[in-house]
Amino acid sequence: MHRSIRAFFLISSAALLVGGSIPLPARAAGGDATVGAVLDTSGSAGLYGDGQKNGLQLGQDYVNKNGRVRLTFDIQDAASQKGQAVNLFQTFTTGGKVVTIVGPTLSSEAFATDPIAVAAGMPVLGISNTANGVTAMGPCVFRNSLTEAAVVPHALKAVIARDKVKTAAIIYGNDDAFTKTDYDVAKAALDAQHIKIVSTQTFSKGDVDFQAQLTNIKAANPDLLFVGALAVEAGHIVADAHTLGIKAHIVGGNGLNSPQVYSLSGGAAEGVVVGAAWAIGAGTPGNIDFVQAYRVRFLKDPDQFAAQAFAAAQIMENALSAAKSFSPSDVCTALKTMKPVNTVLGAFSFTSDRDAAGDGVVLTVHNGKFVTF
Amino acid sequence: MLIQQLVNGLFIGSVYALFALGYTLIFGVLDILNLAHASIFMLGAFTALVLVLKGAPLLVAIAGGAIAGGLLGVLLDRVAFWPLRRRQAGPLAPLISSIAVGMIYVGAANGIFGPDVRHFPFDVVRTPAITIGPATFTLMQLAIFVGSLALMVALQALLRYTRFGAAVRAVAENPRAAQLAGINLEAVYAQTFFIASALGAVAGILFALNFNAVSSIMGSTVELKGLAVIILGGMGSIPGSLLGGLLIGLSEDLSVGYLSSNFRDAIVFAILFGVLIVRPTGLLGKRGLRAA
Repeated sequence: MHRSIRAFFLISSAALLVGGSIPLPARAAGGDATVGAVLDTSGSAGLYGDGQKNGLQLGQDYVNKNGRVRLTFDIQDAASQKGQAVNLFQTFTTGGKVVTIVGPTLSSEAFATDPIAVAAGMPVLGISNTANGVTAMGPCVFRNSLTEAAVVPHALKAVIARDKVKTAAIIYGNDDAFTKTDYDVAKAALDAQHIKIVSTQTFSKGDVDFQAQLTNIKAANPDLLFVGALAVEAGHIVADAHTLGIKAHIVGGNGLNSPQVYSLSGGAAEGVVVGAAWAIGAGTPGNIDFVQAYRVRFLKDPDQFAAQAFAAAQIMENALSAAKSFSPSDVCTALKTMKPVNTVLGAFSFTSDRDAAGDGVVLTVHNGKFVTF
Repeated sequence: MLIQQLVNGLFIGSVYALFALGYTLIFGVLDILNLAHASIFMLGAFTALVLVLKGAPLLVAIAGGAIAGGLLGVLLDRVAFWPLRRRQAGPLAPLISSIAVGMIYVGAANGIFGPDVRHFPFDVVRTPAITIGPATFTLMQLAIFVGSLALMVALQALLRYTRFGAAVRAVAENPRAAQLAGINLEAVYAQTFFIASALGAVAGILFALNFNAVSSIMGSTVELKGLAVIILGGMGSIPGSLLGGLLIGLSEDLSVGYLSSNFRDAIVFAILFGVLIVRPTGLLGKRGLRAA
């Protein structure tokens, strides 16, 4: 009896050693799949994670009604804390319950979490990580969010051409991977267009007072002001710039593509130009239905974060239905070889570097709405 | 540009000072740091926002937010401090329990209002911009500055010239002797929490009006700065809070204006460090609440 118990434990231990921490394939393709989602639904990035959570929930319902697989998102809150995001990735990669992970919300979190998924061989789909270098972390790290490098230069080029810009100022958050990338990309684009940068100002995540920086910018009198910020900080910057009487044309990236920028700035965002991955009024497949369903369920307009989350459900449905099995390697292969999928972002495909393909759109705020520039 | 940066610094500094008064009042009377103060700052702003959205005039909403903040402060005292005070716990336990109540308040706000940043209707907060020489500011900013200073003067007068103020100062000096003289200690503690928290709530409302943004995490913006203000000004000193708040507001704006925004917080804490080396009790630390 004792010998047989010992033998059982020996065999079990050997099996665990051989198997390591890689979860077993969940089920054959065509069945039910659970996807882990690590989102900041509270804390300083809660505003963005909340839209993502809503988008995933709508996407889950949409896929389960229309799709070829049954999808469940196990949505967990990282509370805008890198440590909690890391813990959740560890739980998902060792639990054997999820076939892949969506998230995390912030690029700065992704640099801490994605190596965990890479080590476990589990695919990750970033839905809002736009900093440089995210997908370079591993062969199964994907993202459906267009990078700042893809969208910002187009927006700058459009405004420079229209307004004969000669000088520019930049204000950006220097403690966040996303906003730092914004700065790098904007500086390179402005240098390439021979625009003189007359003032560069920085701020920290969560700041609400930008008057000191903007007073400096006003003194430098630029033709264009590039804002490398997420929506809330951007809303305050636009409002403060208006109060101080700054006349420069304001341009931003994905972070500014949010109704919050307009609502927080109280209309001062009129005329702001953004390079973005998605437009609320776009005629992409299913977009109008998505916006309508979102308004009915959540009583507000969706933002780009919600749209990219919804598109993630569409992409997952497509990849999982094509995968040989729900094992991490088969799901990774299915994502890599995926043909263009119709999503609310448009016909979506990955580049060979697993980034989102495309140039995005240039939008401007007109009468309180984002319209094509 | 110097004038504009000075004006910017004075405006934000006055709100820091008003917020820090709550810390200093409770520290002066009970010798404890109330780390839930930032959450009351936030809940005061949310209360005023809800009242404005229900149609209340702004001044009524500010008064409502102050009363709600005061009551939340009294509740905080009964939940986080009173049970420990009764057991004569050391200084660390109340500090931790105040953090816990603060987290509960923030979690409740997040649950009720969600993580979105809310704002007051713009027709309520939008006031004309005033330009005097090289400085531009709004009428709302000026009102916030004047209102903050007026509240600080009123508190100072309350503590110095009223019977209640005498009781507070007696408790701050020696609670046991004050009790022997017939002062109801628990009543003084509750009233102190009410006033300190009401001031914190008003600071939150003024901060929210200044930036027109209310969110469950807005307290974290001022939490550390408030502590820096009372240490710089002198723990327990009301004029010290005012001086500390204005100095921190000014040093923030001037360091951004003339050095680099990268050094903003570093400069503030370098000044704090330098002052503490020269005057370990803070700038006006010796005077204290009991001398108010």
